[in-house]
Amino acid sequence: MSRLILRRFFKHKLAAIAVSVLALLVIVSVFAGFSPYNPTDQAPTNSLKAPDSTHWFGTDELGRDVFSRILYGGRVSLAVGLVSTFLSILLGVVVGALSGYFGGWLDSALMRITDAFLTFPTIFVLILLGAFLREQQLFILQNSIVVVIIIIAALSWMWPARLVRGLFLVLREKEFVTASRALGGSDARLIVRHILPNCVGPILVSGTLQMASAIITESGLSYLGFGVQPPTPTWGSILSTAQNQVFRAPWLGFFPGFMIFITVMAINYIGDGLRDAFDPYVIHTE
Amino acid sequence: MKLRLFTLFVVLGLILSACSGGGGGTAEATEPAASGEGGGGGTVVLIIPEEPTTLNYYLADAAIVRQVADSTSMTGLVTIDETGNFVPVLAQELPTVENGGLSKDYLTVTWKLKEGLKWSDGEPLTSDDVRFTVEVLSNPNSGAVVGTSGYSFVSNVETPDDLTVILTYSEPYPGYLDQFAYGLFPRHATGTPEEMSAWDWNRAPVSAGPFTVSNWESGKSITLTRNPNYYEAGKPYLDSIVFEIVPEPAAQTAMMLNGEAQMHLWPGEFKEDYDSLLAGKAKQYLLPGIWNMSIDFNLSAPFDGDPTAVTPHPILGDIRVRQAIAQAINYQSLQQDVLRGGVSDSTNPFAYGWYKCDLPRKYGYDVAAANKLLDEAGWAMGDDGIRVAKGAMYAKDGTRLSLELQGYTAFDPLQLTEEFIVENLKAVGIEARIQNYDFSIIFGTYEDNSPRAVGDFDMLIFDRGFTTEPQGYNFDAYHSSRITTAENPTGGNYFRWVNPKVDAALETAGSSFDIETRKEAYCEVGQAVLDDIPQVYLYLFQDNYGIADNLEGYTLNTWGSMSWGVQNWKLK
Repeated sequence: MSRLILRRFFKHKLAAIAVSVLALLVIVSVFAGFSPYNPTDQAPTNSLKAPDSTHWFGTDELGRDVFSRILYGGRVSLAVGLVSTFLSILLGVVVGALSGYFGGWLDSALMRITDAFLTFPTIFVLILLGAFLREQQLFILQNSIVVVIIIIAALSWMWPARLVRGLFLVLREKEFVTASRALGGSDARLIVRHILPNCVGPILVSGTLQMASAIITESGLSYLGFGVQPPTPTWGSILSTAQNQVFRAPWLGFFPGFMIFITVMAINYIGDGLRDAFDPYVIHTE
Repeated sequence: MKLRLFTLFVVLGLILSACSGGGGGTAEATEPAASGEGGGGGTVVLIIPEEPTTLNYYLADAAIVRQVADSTSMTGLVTIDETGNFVPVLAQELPTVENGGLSKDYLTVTWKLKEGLKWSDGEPLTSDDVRFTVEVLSNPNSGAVVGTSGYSFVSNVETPDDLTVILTYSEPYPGYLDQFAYGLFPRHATGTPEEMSAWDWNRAPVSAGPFTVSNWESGKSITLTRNPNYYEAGKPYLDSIVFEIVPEPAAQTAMMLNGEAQMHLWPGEFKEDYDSLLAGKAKQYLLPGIWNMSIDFNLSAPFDGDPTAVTPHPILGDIRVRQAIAQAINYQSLQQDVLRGGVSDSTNPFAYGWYKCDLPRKYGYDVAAANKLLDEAGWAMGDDGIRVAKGAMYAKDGTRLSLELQGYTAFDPLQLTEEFIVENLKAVGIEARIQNYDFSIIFGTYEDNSPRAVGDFDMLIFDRGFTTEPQGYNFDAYHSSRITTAENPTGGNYFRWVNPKVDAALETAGSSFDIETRKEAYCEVGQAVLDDIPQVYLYLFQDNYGIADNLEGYTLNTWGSMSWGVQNWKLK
């Protein structure tokens, strides 16, 4: 089964390329520590230098090495994407599974809550939640990356929840579920062992899409100043400081913009590939 | 998601504008139009980065309001010229003791209007309109947020004839001229004082100014055409002016590059870059601004639920730590390398105007001295390069020398300054954690739990500015009776600073009409700021405008705005 899925996945040429691109980005970010410069070291007299052999991506307004900042920024941006997606899928699956499996009043209650979250105007929630979370005197929340991850997860779990609920509504009526129930399977066993594995494909697909949007949301948050606080570099924050220097230092905006662009592209293609690979109805003729 | 689209646009926009030099904005034809006397000078396009919510200066919640309103609704009895002096506008002359306009006890002021004044709709402008302006601005329910100081002292207004206004004050008010420098309200074309914030007038003012609003396309542009009833014969020379709202700095510069605009508010590029990019088309002009950037310290304990000055701040309560911070900052590099000379040096609150105090920086950049001072103050260097308390004055042993630096978001120079200072402080073993909030949070009220107001901060960084009458602002910021607390929620002494000498000096400055006495008193306050270090002044912003080479007759005025003196503009 898994081998078939892998084979199908790599048939999708773009997805295969996308996986290698993303893998490269992750590796490079993980080993950002080997970058030639410290991303916060400043040299104000050497600011806004064009890319050359010593500073591959040039320097920014404070004379910091943009290449190193992009590498470190990738850490934050990719971590935010991965962790917030994981959290949002986790919450979404729990809500969707309970809602779809049990139905009735529980379903109504959970879905109304989901609807309520969907109706919030995102930007205002972001501002409020950001301010609220920072005010809490919890050690973990002193780290703005954690705050950003929580904010993004809190605002994106509704889509997987709805998706999973729909799948559960269909799957719980299937014969194999009825059979397991007849054999005395508990609700928990039915949900975890029988229904959930059949939802993995769609969940993975929606996860990749979600991750792409999380990276962009983080960029937007940093751009608006509600995200990760300076001087920690993120792709979004590097991009936002670039806008005043478009004529003098166009590379400042180009590199982070390009990184966001290829990451999001890669993840979207991986999502495409996964969809094809998991979809039993897509028949590939050899 | 909205954000996703937004960011994509930003990415795209950056790439596009980097490649092609951007686009956007429509060029206005500059054909001369036939009109009576004056005019015929064509159209000038002015670029503004954001849209004003109102053209009523007294409701101005942002600096952008005045940039537009100066061309229409802000023509008052007097104005402040580029030398910082008051000059009469609608008034015949400045009331002084010598000409009898100001009584010897300073309690009666007599204004004489010029003859034959008309509002832009043709109605006569009379002393009754001055009376109405006082009625509105002295009404506590008017909703006015700026420009109201001193109106509560006006106890009586008499208008013996159409040209004469006699104001009686309950106590001497040194700002009696400044009060009338920001525009009058026409009684016949506004509404009741209580409803001021809802007046239609706010967005289409009937005014005495050189231009009147003829078209306002939200999010795009505001067009104003010349006021045929303007008091100066033959002026304004131009037929109309158009304020184009263009948020993207790159797109703004592109408009100047294409000759689509003649006046550019606050260009993002440094002067040298701007001038070489736009050589032969436009130049950037810098002039001393009024926005003075400082780091403010909280002298009282933060996050203890007590906004008063009773408990000292565990770290910043010790003046040696504040002095070390002042000595850790490389002011020259910050001003010259980071901000590229777009700012000038400033050491104290009184950095411009008649009250300017040229006080030398008492604690300049000296890393060795800062390190020595911190060692003495009981802060030993820790393993990770951040100092730890070991016999410090107020902090328990083991406390890290770590402070939060709060600023506001979406203002590039501020963020660069913060990042620069974080590195400076790291070099002497002080950790500064940047925490930026939205503008509305950092400048919020006590009731809104704004960290500044309730005293929940270590260090604040923001820029402050005041007009030619500094008393209101500075009394509020430095007098010990103005410490922000539950009983005194509007107080502006966020440092929680108590200094009896400062209190006395501020009281002197507020009760004297003698400029020299007042200046001396303010300089005493400035010196006390340098001695006690409740704040450290970093630099004074210069205002900058990009102006096309074919525009002439403009005046750069620290006390005005982009459109101050627009009646004198001409196109070559």
